[in-house]
Amino acid sequence: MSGMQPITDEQLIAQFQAGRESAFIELVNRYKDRLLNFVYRFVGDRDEAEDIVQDTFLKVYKNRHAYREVAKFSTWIYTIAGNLARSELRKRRRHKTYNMSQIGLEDRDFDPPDTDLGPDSHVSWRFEEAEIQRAIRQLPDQFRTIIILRDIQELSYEEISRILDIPMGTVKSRVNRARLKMQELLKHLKENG
Amino acid sequence: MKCQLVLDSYTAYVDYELTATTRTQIEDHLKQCRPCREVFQELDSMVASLNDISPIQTSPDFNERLLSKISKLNTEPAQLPWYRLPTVKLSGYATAAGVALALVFSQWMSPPASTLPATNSKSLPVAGQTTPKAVNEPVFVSQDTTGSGTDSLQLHDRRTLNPDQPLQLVNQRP
Repeated sequence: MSGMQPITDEQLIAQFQAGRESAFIELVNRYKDRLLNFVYRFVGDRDEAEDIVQDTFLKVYKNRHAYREVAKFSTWIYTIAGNLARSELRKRRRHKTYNMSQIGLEDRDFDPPDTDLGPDSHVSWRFEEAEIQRAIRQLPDQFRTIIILRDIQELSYEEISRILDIPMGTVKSRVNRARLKMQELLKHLKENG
Repeated sequence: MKCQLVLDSYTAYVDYELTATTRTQIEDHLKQCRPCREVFQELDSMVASLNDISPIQTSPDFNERLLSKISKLNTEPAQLPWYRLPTVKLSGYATAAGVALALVFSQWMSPPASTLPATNSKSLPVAGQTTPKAVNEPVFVSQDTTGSGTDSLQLHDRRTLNPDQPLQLVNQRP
């Protein structure tokens, strides 16, 4: 049985559309942690991220017949999760309740920036998770998504290309631009505390 | 090689996706250009820090909570606030309001009721209740026409029944 292919996400959603609820549970088990890590980097609050992931699966459950196999299931579910996370961020901005202590992580003190860079000094930055989280949230949407998928979730370019439904070349160039932008933001954070 | 081109090539450089010539050009540039060298070093540190972030896991009762929400979904009717109602429903309400207004208006414009012929009540029949005015309304009675012992609902003209007789489910099984 070594040649047996694992069941794909698309086969699972097809089974679920045909009424097999256990296929839905399998999809939940496959995606819940991946989506949690993805959404958490957007919203910065663990409980809120988990609620958003729950809402994502509820949407998948309710709208299962809206899925057509023209796109990968992963593209569909990440899009739902990303949209919910963005809408949560928009809601916070509208209600002006957005502050660092509510987001979590930011209540830690940052290490003082290393400013002792002599002519031959080797740059050796260490980043606290809180700094990273703060910089990620300041990234434009498309850069934030790609940084999370590539550098935190460490997905392959091919997987990212499938999830975002964009060509591999675009993924690579966007990863580079996102990294440069993130590096600028981190540098700014280091310099300004 | 220009600085911007070197910086734009960072990811391709670390992924070993450049030709040997381009790679050498970048390395030569980095040896001479301190700002670019620093950016490369910062990018290396940043990517390593991002890779080091430990993944988090969903809580142990995640599935249980999700399934509980789903079971509520399946039992409760969806209730949307008025401003979230789909347009088609709003237009349906608008149509209904329009019809109601038209009916009220037509009442004002119509001649007095005494000059009109009697009309039938259109209220729905309720089990156990009599509706004496509704003598022309068809009613459903249960009847076994096949002799199989199973009931089937059949339409009867109420005019064949006594209008004073209470409405009841009639089982004509022998």
